Amino acid sequence: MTLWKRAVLYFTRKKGKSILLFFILLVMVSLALIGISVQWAAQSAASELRENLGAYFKLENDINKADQWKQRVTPELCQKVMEEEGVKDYNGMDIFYLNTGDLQLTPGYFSSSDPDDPRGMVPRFLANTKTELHDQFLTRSLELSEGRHIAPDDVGKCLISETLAGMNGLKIGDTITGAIDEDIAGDNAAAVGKSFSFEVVGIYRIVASYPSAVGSPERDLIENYIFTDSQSGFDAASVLRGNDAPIYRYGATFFVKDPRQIGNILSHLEEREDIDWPSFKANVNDVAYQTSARPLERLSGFITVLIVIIMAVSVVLLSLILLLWIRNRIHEIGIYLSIGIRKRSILGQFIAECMMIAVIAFAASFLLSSVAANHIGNAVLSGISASQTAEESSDSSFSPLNDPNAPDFAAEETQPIQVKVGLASFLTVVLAGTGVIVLSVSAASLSIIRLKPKNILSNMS
Amino acid sequence: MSLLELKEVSYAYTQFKVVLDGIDLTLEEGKMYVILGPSGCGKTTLLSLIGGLDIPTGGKILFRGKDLNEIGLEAHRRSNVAFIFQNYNLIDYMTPAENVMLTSKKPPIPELVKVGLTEEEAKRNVLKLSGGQQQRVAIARALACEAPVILADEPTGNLDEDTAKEITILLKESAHQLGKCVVVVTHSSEIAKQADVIFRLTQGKVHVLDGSEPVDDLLDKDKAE
Repeated sequence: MTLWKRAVLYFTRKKGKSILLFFILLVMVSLALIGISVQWAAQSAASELRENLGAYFKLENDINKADQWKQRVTPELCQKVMEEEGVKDYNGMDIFYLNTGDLQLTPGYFSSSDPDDPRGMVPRFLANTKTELHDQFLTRSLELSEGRHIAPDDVGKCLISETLAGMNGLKIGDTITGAIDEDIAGDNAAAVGKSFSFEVVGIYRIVASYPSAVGSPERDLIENYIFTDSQSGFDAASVLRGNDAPIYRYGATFFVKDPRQIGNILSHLEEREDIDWPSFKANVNDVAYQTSARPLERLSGFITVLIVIIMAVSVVLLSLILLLWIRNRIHEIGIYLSIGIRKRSILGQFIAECMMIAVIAFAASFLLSSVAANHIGNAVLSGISASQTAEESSDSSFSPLNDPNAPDFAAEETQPIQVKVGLASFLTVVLAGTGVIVLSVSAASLSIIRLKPKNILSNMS
Repeated sequence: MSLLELKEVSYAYTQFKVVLDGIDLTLEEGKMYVILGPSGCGKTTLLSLIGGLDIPTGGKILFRGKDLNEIGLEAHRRSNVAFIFQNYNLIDYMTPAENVMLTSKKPPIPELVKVGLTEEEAKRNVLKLSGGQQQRVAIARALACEAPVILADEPTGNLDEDTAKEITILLKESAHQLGKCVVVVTHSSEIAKQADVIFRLTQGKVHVLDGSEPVDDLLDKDKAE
């Protein structure tokens, strides 16, 4: 009689034990399968979030060390930083002012006091390498409603607000002009009258609510912000300050692929000899990562520990149960040995019995886990998110920002994860489960099978 | 050629506890041998050594002239010997037919019918059979595997007198009609009287009884010891 036939007979005739073993395996395998599925879903969601949310550090000259600046934030410096592994993009920034003459601005402090005050005709021009990376757009305070964003190769392009476009009947493709007046030029009289033209390539909507305009100068009103390209910023700066060297006076923000690596990137930059680090200050912003991805990472870590515990408990529990059962089968082992059945065949029979039950338990656990994994995963995740929120609120010193003035990404609540029991996780659990069963049965059988047949038969009698 | 030969076979649990001391025995096919002796004298140990359940601490055992170590104990148990135990040693979750199938590829029902079981009994769970029926199953299992040697350890110890007689007859027929070499360890005078050769094991040595002393007297002496 083959070991398979013997195993089938045992499996079908010893129903009580088979059912008990089935339920033990079902619980163990389901927990492991749910754990692995949740872990993989959390890891995948965290990884995706890290990529999507991004985090950045803003590099700018340290104003407190203005007299010691050896290096400025220039396009060349930005290229050096971009060479660092893990840095995926950047946005260099500058701000300048031009008098836009007849262009109707949202009235502010100056025009309400004196409609002819030239300062009431000066909006803020924000030069950017990529406007989509400007923090106002990243935080979704502003949203592009028409046209496109400013790109690195643009020259003489701009984005204006819906308000400004509406007040002046401007649309995509129209041009606005600004000039340097005496107030803007200051001591540089030669610059007065120099004008710059900007083609409207995009119109933005103001999403966030801003404080009342009363008392604020026109240039500080969000409706009057004109986003333009870096080259226009360099050109204006060159005329105003007589300096041809392009500089991002308002620094540059560098976006990283993985927020967890931001510290390493900064440390590495600090060590580079071609960057005079003391000239700069770097502000890190990973609020979104802290808020959204961290709970997922904590969930993943928690589940890893849980899986290890489940596996360890499974091996111990299964070994103990099987040890007890196999010890009770010493009589049977003795009979098999006395009729010349090989030890490996006896061990094989015991493993086959468990595997037959395990196959059914694996299939049942797949169905059970498919139903339960999503609920359990999200329940644990919300528990972790809640505990993180509690920790943060109880810890008044908690701040992911080194600089409270640094722009924030929109802080989002952790989104539910989609936990699916996939074939890969199922196969992983099946392989691990098979390993656990083979190990447990072997460990439980070893103490008996290694005995001499005569000793087993003596024990029997 | 003799079927089994024991040459200077010894077995000691420890240096000071020697149960078999240089035993020489020759066993042949077609004969029923009985081993008598007081409890603890080493009868079951001798049977275990012949059956390849254990290895002697001295000497050697030859099966058809070949050392058991060469044959391999597992192979020897699988092909050359069949055991019948006092407590039957059947697999409790199998039917008699399935128990017989453990050692043989022959159709099991005829084998069981040969030893006196009905077809219906052959398909029941073994635990639902009487002691005598279970011992018949054990004998059927031993016969079905076609091993030339049947080793029986107190095969009638748990049976009533009538059943014991029937089992004894079955064992004797196995030797005389089927040509098996049947070796029985027993305290039963009924079985001993049916034997072709009776050995008595005392103080580690085997003596062949020549009939000068009645078996019943020897058994009484064994009980007294």
